[in-house]
Amino acid sequence: MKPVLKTVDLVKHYKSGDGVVKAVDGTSLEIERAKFTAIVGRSGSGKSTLLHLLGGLDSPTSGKVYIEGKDIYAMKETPLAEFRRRNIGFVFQDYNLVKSLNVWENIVLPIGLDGKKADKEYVNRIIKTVGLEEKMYARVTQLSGGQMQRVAIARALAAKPAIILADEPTGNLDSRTELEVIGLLKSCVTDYGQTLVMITHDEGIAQMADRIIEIEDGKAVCGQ
Amino acid sequence: MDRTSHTKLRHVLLISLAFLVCCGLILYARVQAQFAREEAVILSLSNHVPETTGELLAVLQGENHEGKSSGREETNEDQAVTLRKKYQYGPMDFKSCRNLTAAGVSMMAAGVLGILGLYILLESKKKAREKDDQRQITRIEDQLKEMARGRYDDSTEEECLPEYVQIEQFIREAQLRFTQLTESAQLEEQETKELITNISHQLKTPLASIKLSFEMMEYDKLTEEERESFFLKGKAEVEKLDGLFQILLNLSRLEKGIIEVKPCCGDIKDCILSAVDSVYMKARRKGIELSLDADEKILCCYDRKWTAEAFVNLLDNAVKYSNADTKIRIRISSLPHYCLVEIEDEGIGIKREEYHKVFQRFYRGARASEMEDEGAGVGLYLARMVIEQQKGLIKIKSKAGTGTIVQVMVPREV
Repeated sequence: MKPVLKTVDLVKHYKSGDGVVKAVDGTSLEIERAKFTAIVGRSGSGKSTLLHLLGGLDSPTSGKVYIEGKDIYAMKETPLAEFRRRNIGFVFQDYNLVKSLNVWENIVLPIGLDGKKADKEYVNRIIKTVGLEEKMYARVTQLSGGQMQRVAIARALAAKPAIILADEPTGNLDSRTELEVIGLLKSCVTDYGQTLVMITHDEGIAQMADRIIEIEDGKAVCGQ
Repeated sequence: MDRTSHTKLRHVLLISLAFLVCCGLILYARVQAQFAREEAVILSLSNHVPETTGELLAVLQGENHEGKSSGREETNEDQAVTLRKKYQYGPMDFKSCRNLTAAGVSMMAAGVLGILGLYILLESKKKAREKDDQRQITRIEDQLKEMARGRYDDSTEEECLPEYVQIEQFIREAQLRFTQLTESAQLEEQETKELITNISHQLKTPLASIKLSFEMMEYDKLTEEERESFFLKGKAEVEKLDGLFQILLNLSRLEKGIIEVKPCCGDIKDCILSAVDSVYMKARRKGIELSLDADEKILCCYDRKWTAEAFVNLLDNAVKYSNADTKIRIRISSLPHYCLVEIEDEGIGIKREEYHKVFQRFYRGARASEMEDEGAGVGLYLARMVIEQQKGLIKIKSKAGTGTIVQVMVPREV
């Protein structure tokens, strides 16, 4: 069966000063459908870069990335952007929220861009999970860092994307909200069959995954 | 070009062809009529003026009349021109008629040929189309044949005709479904084999011990005391075996879905209290203090019996792996969608590298085995299975040597 995400000899090098940083150094891996895969590794091991490449947000030095069998770096910019918007939800450290819109609007923005209607009940559940009920109509500029992270999480999940890519999604959250968010993410996998790939440094969270991939010096060392 | 517009185009072409042919016929008829009229005029002229018959004939045939001088020809022409102007009438001479006819006929021929050409092109396209269809159908047949034989691999990346995209999509989905079924069947088979191996392994040791006890008891040269001690040892081992057997039986039943977890609503506190009851004595014997800190009543969706079993396992672990005179704190609090139960002990803790291992069936950490003889390594495994079947979560936070917090999330009543 085709894996939903697959990389073949993925390489990403940066020039840094006089030398070359090998952020991703020949990684070939496969992500299984409808499973929670955790990516662990020390800081600077290339996890974030790998996740960006997996989501089509960066261009590799060499190698290929296949999403649902499509070679995404062979696609042109516009169809790639559309494909990304329709199939992937991102929860990254740089939240990229729209400052002129309020919380609710930010959350349903990707759905609207696709011309679809939001599943109000589901979105409300997400908002309740991240604890933003009181702030639904607040301007983004009035929120704290942790609150903005929560909006980003909600936005990524609201459109029920087939794939969720998350980079330390609970970093700025208090432990109670963190538990709720992890619970929600897991239910996305088990109840809706979404595929979750999450970078985390928390062993406790990693251990809740169906599979752990460890990254060391830009290469994947497979786990359980 | 799809079928319906192809057919329409064919009809349009046929009609155009017919139209052109009709036009041609009409044009021809008109030219002939005109001819006839001219002939009639000239004939009646020659009847009235017989001397000019020769000239008239010449005019009809488009030749210059012999007997006149060039000067006269001109005047003939001039006369013809004046005549034309006077009577607004002019004869069509044979040559121009011929030219006109020729032009008309060749245009007609070109039109007809063009239409025929297009028609042939359409037909050949249709043939090619039929071939494509046939090939597509053969491809679908092949895929279905492969599926019937149990092979669900993806087909080639050939382009597929637009009308068949939907069908191909359905076949893809069917392949996926069958592959998933096959894989889960294989997985289950493997797990069952593992389970059988594990169980037989686990039961071997206590059985060997019992056997030994009996054998020793048969030995002649034993004192009463020695016999008694072997007897008691055997008895203890039988108890242990019984306990182990029960656990393994429950585990297998749960795994194989013979027993189902049936969530229904209730206050989670009741469940925890009954779990605490089970381990209370054991904790007390070790001098471990149990405390429960609960908010208001929290209604959750859970299976009373199995969840209690899970909590018993967790509390039992906490007691087993804590030293004497320590505390075990149980906290119940509410999150938006879950009820959070935290069991915190001051025991030996779990190393980070072992976090995911401790949930595995029959796994016991090295330090755990040192600490406590008993323990099949199934407590956490069972607890997680029960909790996750109820759509809950278990998370571990621990520091080796300091203690462990087990966080259990149970879904709240919707």
